[in-house]
Amino acid sequence: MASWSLVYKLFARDWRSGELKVLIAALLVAVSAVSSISFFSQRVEIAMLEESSRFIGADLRISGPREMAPEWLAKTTQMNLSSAKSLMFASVASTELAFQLSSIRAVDSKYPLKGTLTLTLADQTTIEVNTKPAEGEIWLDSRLYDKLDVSFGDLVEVGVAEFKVAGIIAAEPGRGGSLLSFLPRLVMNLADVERAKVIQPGSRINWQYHLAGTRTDIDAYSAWFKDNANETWSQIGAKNGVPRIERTLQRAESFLGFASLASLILAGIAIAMVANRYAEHHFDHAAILRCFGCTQKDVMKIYGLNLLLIGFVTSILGGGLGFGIHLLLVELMKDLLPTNLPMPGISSFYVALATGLTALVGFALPALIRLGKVAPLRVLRKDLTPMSMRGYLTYALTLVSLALIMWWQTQDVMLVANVLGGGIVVALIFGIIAQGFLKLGLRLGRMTSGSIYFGIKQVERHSSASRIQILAFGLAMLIMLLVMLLRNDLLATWQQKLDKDTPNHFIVNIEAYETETLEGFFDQHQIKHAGLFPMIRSRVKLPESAEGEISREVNISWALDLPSHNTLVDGEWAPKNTQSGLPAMSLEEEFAKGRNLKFGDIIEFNTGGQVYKGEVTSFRTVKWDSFKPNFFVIFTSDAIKELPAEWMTSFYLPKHQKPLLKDILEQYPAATLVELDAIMEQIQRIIDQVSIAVEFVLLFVMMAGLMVLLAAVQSSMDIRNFESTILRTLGAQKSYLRSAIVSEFSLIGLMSGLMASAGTELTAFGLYKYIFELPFELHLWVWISGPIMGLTVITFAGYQASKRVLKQSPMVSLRQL
Amino acid sequence: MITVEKLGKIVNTHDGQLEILKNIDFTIENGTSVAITGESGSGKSTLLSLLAGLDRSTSGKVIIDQQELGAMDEDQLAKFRANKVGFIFQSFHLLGSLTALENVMLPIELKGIKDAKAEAQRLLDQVGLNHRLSHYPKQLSGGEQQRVAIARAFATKPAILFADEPTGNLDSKTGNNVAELLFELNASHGTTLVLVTHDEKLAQTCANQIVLSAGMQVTE
Repeated sequence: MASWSLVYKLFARDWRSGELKVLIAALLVAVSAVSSISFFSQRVEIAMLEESSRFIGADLRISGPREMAPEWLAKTTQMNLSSAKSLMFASVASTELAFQLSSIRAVDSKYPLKGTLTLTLADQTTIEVNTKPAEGEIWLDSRLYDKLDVSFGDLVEVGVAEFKVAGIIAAEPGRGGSLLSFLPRLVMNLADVERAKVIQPGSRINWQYHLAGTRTDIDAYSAWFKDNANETWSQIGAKNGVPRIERTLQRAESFLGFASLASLILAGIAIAMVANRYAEHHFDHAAILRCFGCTQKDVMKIYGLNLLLIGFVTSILGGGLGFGIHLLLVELMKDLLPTNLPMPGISSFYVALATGLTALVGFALPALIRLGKVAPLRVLRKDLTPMSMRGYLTYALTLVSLALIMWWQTQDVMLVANVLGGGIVVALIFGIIAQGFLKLGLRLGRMTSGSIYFGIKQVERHSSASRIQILAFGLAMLIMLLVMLLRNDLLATWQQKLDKDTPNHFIVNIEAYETETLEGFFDQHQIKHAGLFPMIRSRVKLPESAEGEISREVNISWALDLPSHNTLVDGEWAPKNTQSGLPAMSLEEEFAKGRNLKFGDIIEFNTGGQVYKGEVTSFRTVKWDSFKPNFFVIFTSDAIKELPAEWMTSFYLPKHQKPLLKDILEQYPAATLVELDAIMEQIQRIIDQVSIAVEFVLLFVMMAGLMVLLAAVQSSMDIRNFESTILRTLGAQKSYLRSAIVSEFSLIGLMSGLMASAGTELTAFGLYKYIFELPFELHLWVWISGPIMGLTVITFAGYQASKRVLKQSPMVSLRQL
Repeated sequence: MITVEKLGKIVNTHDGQLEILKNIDFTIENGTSVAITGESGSGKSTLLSLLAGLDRSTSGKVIIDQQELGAMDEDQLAKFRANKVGFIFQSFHLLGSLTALENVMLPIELKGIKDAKAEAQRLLDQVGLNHRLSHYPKQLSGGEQQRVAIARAFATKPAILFADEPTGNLDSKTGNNVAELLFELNASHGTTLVLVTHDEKLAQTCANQIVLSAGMQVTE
């Protein structure tokens, strides 16, 4: 009976009469908040990845002992990835007067693929390049340049060929990680390698493939490669190049994801409240339509399509608005973000559209179904209000649509399961707490009198509506508090400025007999160091009960005391006896877990033909981002001290003491010194950017939260205004009503604030533990600000919303009813 | 023709079952007018709702043009209302978001009839409101709103028109005018009119009267 054109006509008429204004406004806030946060997060995420790509010189870096099989390379082209390869090996670079073992990178085309290499040229100018040296030319880093004591244009011998020095490398992406990089760097053209005859059968070489492309393509290739290559190949992506960056990025992504969800739930609350109000306003409409002969289905169709049209229009508008807001955010942050942020893809718009529609359906459908159930008899009996849908059905519907949207937004099943699971538990507990708080509040209210008593009594009189409002306001504030809490703790974790004396230099290749004098040197100049550790490169043979095998060589160390930057989590560090009588050793926890290694397991090592064994007696956690020497395996006695080891440490040297580096190099000519300052600065820059992004998103969520609270209060005003009008005609003074309204909203605000505080702590506990991996403790400010926020915002909003009715004459109000 | 046989309605209340209507029997010929009267709570509105297919009886039958309403499912009842019935209510029940013209157009549009606008304009002209077409209900007086409701009720040319206290919310002068208009249109359209009212004068204008007292039929 209800044709499309009629539905459209009804929609157009509703639109024109302003009936839809509130619903559309709420939806618009919802969609634009969600989409702007999602656009912004997406771009910040891309920017963060881009920055870390620069850090490793590619979106994905694959290393292996041989050249890639042709079909693997073909796959990169097939997957639209650009690639460049370089050959890494160690070789001696020499002049007539000096020689130095160097880490050589021979480049075939572009290096780096992402980011740039900073070169100082003969004329002292600095340029950024991403190419290769010309054939016959080489670039040296400043350490090698100094060690070889050469000038531009001088010849340096590598293997059997001579090369002209053409540039000094001032900064190179991705120096960090592999041991080879502790050696000074020399970059040459791959075509020259053969001429130099440096690669002999058995030479330790490493082929590196730099890949770049879109996120999806890179992820797909990475997954494909993992399935097809064996263990001798390793890959490093933008996300996992450096532990500190990796965790920062993961947490930032989780935060941004959570912020999107938070804004979505806020929007959902608004939509649900407003849709309910819309439905209640349209009960009479629906009844009339039924009288005119519309079936239930017709009514559902009319309002359903109406709602869908609203959803469609507002999603497009909201998506556009969200895009605009995100542009504004990016503009505000333009000094802090990388200059050429890639634009969000068209898929983001689809997500916005789908989000709007799904949120609308999920949160508004229960109200819509009530509309469909309106009995035609309502035209004669106004009291025939359709029953609400069965509780569980409503919640299931809302939850399913919420889960869907969350999944679209985050693609993170764990996060969705956590937030939803936590949400359900919180909601259940909330219900009980709300009941309790309400009772308490009402009991306290009985001690008051006059208008205040009347106001508080109102909460009791409309107890089911009050409970829903407390829940909705509480939930909205919970989300605001939670986002604020997360932001605070994340920033605090990130901005823990690295300790003043965090090591900024590594020194390796110290001989055992040199350790004492080096320690003496450090003491003499009051240089703080991480302690000297021996390093024994060994092949590892795991026991049969362990999973997997370790094909590469691992650095094994020994120490009598637990290193101060390690924490013993299980077992005994240096037991007097072991079960097997073999020396005791301590494993890094994750290393052991991943290979199913247990106490009492015996591991066999082989260094240059010498075999030695140890028994697992303890597990440790290690701060990978401490810039101190860290080891998977540490023997806890000096049982292996006779094995050939090179020693290493890291130390902090303030700027003014930098000249001491020269002394160190002179006294320990075989040692290799690495300066970490540049890398640390780069890491700090990434963290700073992420922090600022988080700040902006927080601000936005807070604004969205406030708007939702205001809209929700507004939509609860119908019955209050009706009663105020009646009371005024009965002679109630404005001041009486004002104070009644203020006390009513104060109680509701206070209750929802308290609930928000309790819920925030509860949810935070779960989130911290399972998602953000942050330590959790109770927060006093949450308990203070929740009730204060509830009391002030809700009371203010309620008072504002009731002002109109208090102002105009009762007659005018009555006419409007 | 409307035939009512042994019609009864019982509802469940907190204090047990309440019999609102008992053993009602009557027939209404096509094209006549009938007033259902009685004091408050006598079951007038319930009877009207059963006759119009808005509610279901607990016993007895309502047969309209050989169709028994009790045997119809919700969709068939809706179709019955769409094709046969028009309504006028005490509280007008105009849709606040539609103008006077659109309110009258709505039932015509719902039936899928073209030129709803012209027909609605003609009807509003008949009830003397051609200068109020684009006004919203809020902007109209009570009498004007009821006249729009009357125009809307006749818009689909129903065979039967049910009116529940059509003048109940109006002052006597306006009420008289509205009643006059109602009977005029009823006569010209040849509609069967079933009217619930307190108003003795209005009841007497009808061809027949059914008087209820405590759910029982006193006269026909």
